[in-house]
Amino acid sequence: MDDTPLFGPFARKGSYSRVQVLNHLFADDRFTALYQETSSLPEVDELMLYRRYLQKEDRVLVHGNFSAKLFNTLCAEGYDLYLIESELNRIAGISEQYLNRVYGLSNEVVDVMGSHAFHKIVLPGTTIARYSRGELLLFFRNIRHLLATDGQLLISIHNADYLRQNVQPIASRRMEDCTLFYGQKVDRDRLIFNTYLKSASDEKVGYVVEHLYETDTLFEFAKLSRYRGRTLYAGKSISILEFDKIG
Amino acid sequence: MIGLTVLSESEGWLHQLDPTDALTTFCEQHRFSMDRYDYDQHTFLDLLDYMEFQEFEHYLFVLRGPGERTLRLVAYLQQRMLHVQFHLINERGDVLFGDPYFLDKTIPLEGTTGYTQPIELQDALMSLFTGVYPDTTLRHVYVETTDLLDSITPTLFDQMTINSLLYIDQSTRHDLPVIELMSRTPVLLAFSDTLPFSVRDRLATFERSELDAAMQQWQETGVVLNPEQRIGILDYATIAGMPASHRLFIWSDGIYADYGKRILLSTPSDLNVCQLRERQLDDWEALLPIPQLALYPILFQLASAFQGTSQFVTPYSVFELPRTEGKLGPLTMIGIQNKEGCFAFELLTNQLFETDEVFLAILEADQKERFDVLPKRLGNDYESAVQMYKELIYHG
Repeated sequence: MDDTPLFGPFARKGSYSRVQVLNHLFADDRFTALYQETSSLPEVDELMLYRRYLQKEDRVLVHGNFSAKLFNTLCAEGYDLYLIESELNRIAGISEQYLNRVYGLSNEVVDVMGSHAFHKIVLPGTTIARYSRGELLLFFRNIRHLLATDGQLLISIHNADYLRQNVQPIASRRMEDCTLFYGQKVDRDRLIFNTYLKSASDEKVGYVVEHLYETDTLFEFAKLSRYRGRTLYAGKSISILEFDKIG
Repeated sequence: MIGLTVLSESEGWLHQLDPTDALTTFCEQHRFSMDRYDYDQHTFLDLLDYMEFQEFEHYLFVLRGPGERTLRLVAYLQQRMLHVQFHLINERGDVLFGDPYFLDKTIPLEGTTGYTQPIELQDALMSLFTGVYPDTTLRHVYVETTDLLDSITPTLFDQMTINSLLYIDQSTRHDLPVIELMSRTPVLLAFSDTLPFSVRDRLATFERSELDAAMQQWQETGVVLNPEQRIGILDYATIAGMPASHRLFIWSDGIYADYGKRILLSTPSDLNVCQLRERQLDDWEALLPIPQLALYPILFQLASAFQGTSQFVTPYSVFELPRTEGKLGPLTMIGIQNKEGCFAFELLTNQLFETDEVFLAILEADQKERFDVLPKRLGNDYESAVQMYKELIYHG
């Protein structure tokens, strides 16, 4: 138990034998819904963002952490969108007619679509945060083969300083007749999200560890992975970056 | 475990205070858990659940200044949770509730400043009657008369946000239903004569079609009319189709989502607050995108501050340039032109500045990402005017 990144009252709950500790928070739908709700930053209207920076004639791959509702809306508007999402409960809201555009892993996308099939790859804010520095560098390199020669990455990144200064103290939310508690803690360059629920049938804690990045770090990693980038939007809580694939 | 929190109270509204370094050190040395709680976002029931979750054995409230409602809140918690010992002391160390025998010295409170900007009752009543408030927690409740209080299931009041208002549309009376309610749940009460004027009487009334037409006029001309200089629009959120679910109106003939009784939710005896919220969200389609709906009441209120007709400079309305959907990110400033002059209103600070036509022209070009039109529009002044604008906007 000691090696789990649980803190404060969440660590105490996790130490009880009756409480299940979920290393993978997305295994529970209620935790997933809470995490999606609390991790979204309202500064930028996502629909407006994608309408502005995606072209309908481009084939676009969204890499994880995307709202099902937004995916449906953009597909219905004629955007040629595909999605990589390994969490089954996060694609539950995707309309049946667009489910053939959803893949569990990037390998599956290559098998079906071939290499260099996409004009643009979208990496929403929490996708980047899932990767440690080494993993992120590798990820930047690995997705090159999915991009067309003149392809681009569209990345949104939650600003590290903003997240550090706006750490969520312990709060609660009612959902499906049970109360979920949640809170955040900053540990060096990591933002740790803890959550707990107790219902009539179960009692669980779960956590997500996110890595905090400055935009400068992403520019540096992009350069090392042979991309050339620019800032499209620099806000208080979020920045939007665009990278061109070189060579 | 002993939890400790510092708060102040103004006109019944509770405010969490930030701990100083000395207080944090004191808590660490005395093995107190320094605690913070958001009274604006959570309900009484949430607070009870929170105490259970934290597994406190003792919980000490330290109150700066007077606070009759804080005392009622602490008594409420103690009544509902017998396995936690609640205590309340003031900043001088006087015990107001409980028996904090574990305190062997005075808590260092120097430097923790009291809350200096109390929520105005007028703002709360504006929120109740217009519906304009940016969250989804059940906040304000309207009750027609005190005798209806007996017919409402008591759990409703437990599900009100701690910093919320129960407004009874009668002059002040402390009859039996009110006394019983006050003894059960520490709600914040207001009556029709609590303020010396009626907020409701200062609001404009619109039918949905009229509001739709007014919004069209704003989009097409930049003009927002408010000839009677009203401070807001009654039931705006409901009529405009905003996702407002934070208010309930309890009348003798049923529970409604709005003062105008357009959306009947249930009878008083058939009450489930969670279901009520969902039903409210389903009802009316939004007249405009949400950022525009959120902006319109501000324009309407600003229009009341000037004589004659005001034309507004926003991304969503025509001024000198066609309207747009706006830039990415929040709108921070709008422009106003009327016979009193040209003004800029900063939305983040609610500050109004006097300015000139050139500034408004650049503001509009900036809002609509059309700096290309400015050289022709401003002529020889172009460079210096844009430079001055950028310094003002981006460097304060």
